[in-house]
Amino acid sequence: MSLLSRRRWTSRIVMFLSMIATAFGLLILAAILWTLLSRGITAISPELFYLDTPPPGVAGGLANALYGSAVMTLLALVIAAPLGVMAGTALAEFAGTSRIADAAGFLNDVLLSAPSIVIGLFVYTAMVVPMGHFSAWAGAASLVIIALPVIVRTTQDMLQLVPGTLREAAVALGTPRWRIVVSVIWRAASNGLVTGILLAYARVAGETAPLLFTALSNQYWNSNLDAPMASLPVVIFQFAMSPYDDWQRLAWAGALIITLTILVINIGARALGTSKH
Amino acid sequence: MTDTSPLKAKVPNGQRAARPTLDKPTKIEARDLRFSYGGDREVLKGIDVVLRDRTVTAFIGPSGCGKSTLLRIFNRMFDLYPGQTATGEVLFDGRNILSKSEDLEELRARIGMVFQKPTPFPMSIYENIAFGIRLHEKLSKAEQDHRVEAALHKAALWEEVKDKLHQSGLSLSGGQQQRLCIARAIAIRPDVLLLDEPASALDPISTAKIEELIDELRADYCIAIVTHNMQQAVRVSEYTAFMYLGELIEFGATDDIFTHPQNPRTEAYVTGRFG
Repeated sequence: MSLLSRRRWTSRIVMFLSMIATAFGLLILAAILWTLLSRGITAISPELFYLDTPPPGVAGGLANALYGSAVMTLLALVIAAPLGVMAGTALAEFAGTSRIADAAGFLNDVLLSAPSIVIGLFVYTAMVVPMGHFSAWAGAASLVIIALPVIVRTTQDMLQLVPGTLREAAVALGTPRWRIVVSVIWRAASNGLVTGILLAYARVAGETAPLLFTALSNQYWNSNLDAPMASLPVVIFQFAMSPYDDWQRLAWAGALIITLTILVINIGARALGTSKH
Repeated sequence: MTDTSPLKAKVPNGQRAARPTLDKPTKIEARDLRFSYGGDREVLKGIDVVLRDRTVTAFIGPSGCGKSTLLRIFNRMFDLYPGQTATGEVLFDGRNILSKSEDLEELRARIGMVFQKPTPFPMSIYENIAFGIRLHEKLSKAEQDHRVEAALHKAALWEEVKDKLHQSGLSLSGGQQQRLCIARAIAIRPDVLLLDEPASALDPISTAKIEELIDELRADYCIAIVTHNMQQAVRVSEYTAFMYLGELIEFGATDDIFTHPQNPRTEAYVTGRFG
């Protein structure tokens, strides 16, 4: 066999194996989406959005869970986004190569991969037990702890992608350091920073374990942050495990809604991340 | 080196040579300037050089000879990087800017710099210029508009951008971006402009525009330009400094450096035999 044809064959074989691996991954994703769509789409109805979670055998929706999820994730992001962007900025722009910066970066990565159930238990002991009851505050707090390291890490990475020449150009004008960061560096990396926050949202939107231990759930509409609050993932967990058909249908509907939301957010983040200023 | 060129390349250690009688006053003077990026190796090994007001001085020499490093000392850019140290003296209007107490923001407002790669900020053309002005002065909107327009005129960019001042600075071509950076630098009315290979990333037409611009700017500023292009040095500068391995080998009127250099290494470099 000539050298060239051997190379061609190697190329074909490797290409074939790569295609199989890709197809395997995509098939699983397609199967998940298909199951969700086929089971969930029939359960989607207008009532979902204005009726609360029902007792078994009664018509109902997911309004209280949708509201609870929205409130707790948004609250978590409102707290985690500024904190995370500041911390990421400190690590990327101000800490230099000190050992404290290295340690902080490392600890952040540990937190990034900490099991979410551990974070739930932590907030349970730190907030729920002293307060004496489950609450949306505690739920949001656990989501903050999950979102924070995601935002810190992406902020740090995105700021490090800003060319040093841009920093030097700002320095050469006699710009104070904080002003360089706020007016030039953040602006240059703004798409990346938003991407990080969206990815953090996508991450916390589907978290169940930490909310089980903190916000618990609530069968009724509740807008009091100091009381247990329903959330989509926890309701899905409860209803999917139940023996009742109508509850299971609601769980499928909830699963579809949550997946589509995260899909849209991820695609949006992707588009932002790759688009040029 | 008993040359008769107006400035001597080296001042003997510690002593001051007789001050050359030239019409333009000294703006920046380096004395026994040494620099290290950290560690023992000196990248600049005792540079003595004078930059005159309203004069263009070109720095030439092979890559790694320390030209850019020298420029980055004049505005203390090296301070950004811990470990880099400069010793000796750099007198700017007679004051040693290497001193610890130097106000770097004020210094950099008076000594502007333009880099090899155009570096517009991610904001509109107008904001790119106004940004620097606002850092150092409180002006009314009308005064600021006027200053932005004047800077763009001076950088020969006004005609090309006057109808799109609020578009992103990044939407301009490379040559326009570089002129925007020059406009940004002169908008804050510095005394000195440091140009670090300002045209090396540009096409010939943009390069010609930048050179014309330097020719205009020489009337108002003390300009130092680092260039790898010897024709460019001849075209734009009155004085040329030839550097090699961290030393200033020869310094003098550009004509002299290129037509009858005193040092054989200078001659070899300007005639293209090494470098």
